[in-house]
Amino acid sequence: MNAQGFGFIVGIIVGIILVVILFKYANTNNKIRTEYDERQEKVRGRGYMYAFYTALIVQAIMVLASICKIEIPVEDYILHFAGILFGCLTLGIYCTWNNVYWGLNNDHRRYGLVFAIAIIINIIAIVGPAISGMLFEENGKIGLPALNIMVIFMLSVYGIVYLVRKAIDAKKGTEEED
Amino acid sequence: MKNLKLKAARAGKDLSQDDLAKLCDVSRQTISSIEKGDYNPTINLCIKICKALDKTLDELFWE
Repeated sequence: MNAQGFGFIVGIIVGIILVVILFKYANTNNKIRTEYDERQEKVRGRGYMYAFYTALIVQAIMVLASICKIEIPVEDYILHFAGILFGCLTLGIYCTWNNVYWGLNNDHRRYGLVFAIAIIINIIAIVGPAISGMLFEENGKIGLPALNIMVIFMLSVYGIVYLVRKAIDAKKGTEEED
Repeated sequence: MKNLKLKAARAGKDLSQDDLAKLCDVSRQTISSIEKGDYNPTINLCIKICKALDKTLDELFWE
């Protein structure tokens, strides 16, 4: 295993520990798992189905590109990550659009803080390569900083969908009326 | 189809959607969806709502 691979694994382990701590902090009953009611579970179930199809389609496109020997100037792991990202994006957009953005035990303010921390960490991760002019190039291919940019993009899309949904609800008068 | 009986019973108890949601351990959006007729609750949730509003299933959920 090379140094980059080792660093990547350490990063993932640290990330998982950080996520567990942050989720415990962000939930009102100090549980890691977010609790949902029956309607939310139903919506999320359908969301996972669409997310699975999306990840499947993205992976199929990658396989097709590989078979057809289409050169994509992107590192392999970024392409695989794209499948995960588009799946997560589909799940997030579907759930948010169907009013499943807050679980029953979520502290909204703390979750906002967690999202802000996630965005800041990802921005910090791209600042170094941006300054050194290595933002995209890694052995002539788009490399690691692109992962962080994709995550920032995903979180931004979640935020935009959330705000649009809230605005539509407010306009329709479906928000709390009393 | 909108569930106006539920909305009226909630208003009669002077409860907001959020108050009723907390009493039934569900989200406010779920109560809103039931009132709008966008979501058909399970019998368990119907019973919870009925108990919270001191109503019977017939009074709230029978057409």
